[in-house]
Amino acid sequence: MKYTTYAQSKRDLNLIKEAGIQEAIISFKELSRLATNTFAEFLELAEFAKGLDLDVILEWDTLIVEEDFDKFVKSFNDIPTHLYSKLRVQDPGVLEYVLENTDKPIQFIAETGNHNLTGLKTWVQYIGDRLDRMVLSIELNKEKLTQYKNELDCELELLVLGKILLFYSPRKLLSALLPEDDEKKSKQIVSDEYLTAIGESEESPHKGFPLVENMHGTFMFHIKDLYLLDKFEDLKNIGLDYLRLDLRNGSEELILKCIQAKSNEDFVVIKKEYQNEVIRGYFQINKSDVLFKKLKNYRIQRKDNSYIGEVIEASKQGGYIVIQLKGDNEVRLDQELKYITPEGKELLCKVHTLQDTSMNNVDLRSKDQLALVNYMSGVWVKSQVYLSE
Amino acid sequence: MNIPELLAPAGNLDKLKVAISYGANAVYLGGLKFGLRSAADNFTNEELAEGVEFAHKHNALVYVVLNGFLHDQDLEELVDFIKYIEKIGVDAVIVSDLGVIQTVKEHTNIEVHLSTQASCLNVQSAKLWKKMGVTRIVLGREVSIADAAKIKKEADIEIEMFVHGSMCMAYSGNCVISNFTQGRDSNRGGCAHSCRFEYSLNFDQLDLEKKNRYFMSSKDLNGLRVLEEFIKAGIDSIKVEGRMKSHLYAGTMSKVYAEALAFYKENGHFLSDKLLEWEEELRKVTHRTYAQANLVDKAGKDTIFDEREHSKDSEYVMVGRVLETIKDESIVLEVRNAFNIGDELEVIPFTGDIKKVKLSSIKLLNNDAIERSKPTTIVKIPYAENCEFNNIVRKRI
Repeated sequence: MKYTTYAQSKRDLNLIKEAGIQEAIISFKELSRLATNTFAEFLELAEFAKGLDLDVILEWDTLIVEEDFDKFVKSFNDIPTHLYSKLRVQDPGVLEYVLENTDKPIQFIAETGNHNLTGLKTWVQYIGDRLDRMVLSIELNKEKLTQYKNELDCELELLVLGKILLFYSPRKLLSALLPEDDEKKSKQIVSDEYLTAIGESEESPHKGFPLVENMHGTFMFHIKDLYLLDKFEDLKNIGLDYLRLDLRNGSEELILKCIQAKSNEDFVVIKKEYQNEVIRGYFQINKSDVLFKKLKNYRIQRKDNSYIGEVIEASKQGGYIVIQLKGDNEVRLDQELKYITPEGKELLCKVHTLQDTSMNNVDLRSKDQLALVNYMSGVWVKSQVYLSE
Repeated sequence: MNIPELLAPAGNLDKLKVAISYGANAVYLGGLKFGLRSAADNFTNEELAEGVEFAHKHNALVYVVLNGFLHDQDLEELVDFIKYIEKIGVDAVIVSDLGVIQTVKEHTNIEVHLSTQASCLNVQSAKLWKKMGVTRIVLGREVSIADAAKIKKEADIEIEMFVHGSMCMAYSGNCVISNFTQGRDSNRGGCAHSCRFEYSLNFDQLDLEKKNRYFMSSKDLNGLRVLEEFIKAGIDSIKVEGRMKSHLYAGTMSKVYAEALAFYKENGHFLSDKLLEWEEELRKVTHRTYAQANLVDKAGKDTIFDEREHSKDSEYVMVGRVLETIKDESIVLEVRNAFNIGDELEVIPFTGDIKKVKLSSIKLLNNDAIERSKPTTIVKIPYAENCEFNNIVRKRI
């Protein structure tokens, strides 16, 4: 199990070297979502990294609309190929481009929307011999990570310390809010570094979302950072090949301590020193679909072959219930019906009167017709009607 | 000249019938799982079968959304469902996850459309997804019509684009706010719409007062004015967002866009006062302020809906849906919003001009006369010529 991390300065590279890490993820503003280096700075850093005998991983993780694709390709092609040894991409279009136009090993960022083995295996198969590493989603729990490590024939990486990206929009949402004078100022800020802000909402229990706007759009992060290192033993047991540390928040020096730490306890100490509050996200368990059952009333869904229809009016005063017949079953006089109310109550009632909408007495009503039957207390609109067994 | 398919949302079986009756060529809908709208009514298996039967009888197609980013356990449950929908004749599935594409291809012969949730934004990406077996791509909403034409030509694949409705502010599939703040997977149907919240913003680099803004909320898309561009670009399908929206929305969108496409097919242009009428109709349904988003130019700051939700509600409300007509006698109406004797109601026919009905009487089904109707009741109002089952009735508020 090895570490990987980002480098934005020569100091970072020296720290990486000192920590004994063998690679550095480097990029520049035009290709990377969050890099702050200019192209010239990138070239200098990459040369410096090579001088330190580090593998340079070039990160090209932006999503790109067709209109901008050529511009990105030009930026990419301006980079002397000897300056990096591997490419890290996320947009499937960029993946396709680098597969066709380069011969560098590829690290595919599968952090968004890749939560099943079938899909991951297909990516592995598609990228083939060119695949160097898959970067997995932090929404996968440890059980899934273990399974995937056993079943995927490639190196795997997981973010274990760093900011959690929640939202990525191509629109410039922060500078749009500034008054005219400040907007000019913000343009300056954006061109030099980022425009940043902290957001909080009365409607969310979480306060203090870090926000960034740069040339690629707007990014929102979780108020707490991800920290899985105090589960170091679990990470070791999973057998992940690379643990990624994203210390681009001024915590770069922590890298040395992380490298020296060898147990959960060591990492608990580091956690206390870490500048931000942290969470483990979904590492233990992912139950992000269990609340769905509460979003909908399943009692008002039709269920089986005995289905007749739905109550669309219950008039105590008029003494009738109107059923819209939706199923294939007919309603007949003297038949026993079962009503299931939206609250889940089951009520049985015999059809004593059956009428059409002109109040004519009829013997039966069938699909797509309206049936007026005798009123029953407790039956409401949206109650579902079935044949009684 | 290729006129695009009009693809409308069907949040439930009733809305499917409404959308198709008002002119949609195809509808998209969700089963009880695997989509992105867990809170929508969605379709039980029986309703799906009935929906497909109804659609095919009316020469319309049905696409089932399976566009969640599914986990392994979801995929296991998916197999039976896709075999079922193939059996009942569903025309295609809309998918965003490579694992789902593989599963569908392994177990069925159903056509696979790539969901906008996969954020396919460029030619190279379209080529890759085509190799994965998709036959149509619903492009990311960040792509312009001009770029869509280029993608269609160079990747040689069917292209579908959103023409109308709510917009994600984030690249679709790239927002997990709900996942990490509410424990609800936004990419499996649990989106809590955190982007519509009001946020207090503190710009730490700038000496500004805190601002309370709806800075992540997008205005709604309205592509009517550039419909001709869609047609000229050869876009295969134009899609209306809104499975959670009302019958009035489903009906109005289908009617307006179907009429507009038919007009173009007949005349080869939109140089008509009809365009203003259609625009007026689109303004009559509940919506956020309209914008063209990225259809022509990249979405700028004027595309942010910096207002509280629903503060721009329509001047019109749906009062009901026609359940039956008794010739020369009455219309039987399912009441959704109250109305009074003397009100002028507007019946929206499936084709042609809106019919205005001044209410001289309102009766309960037992013929008791009433002055004012109540929601969730069934009433009779005076008969209007050519009024049909499932016509939507509205009134000005």
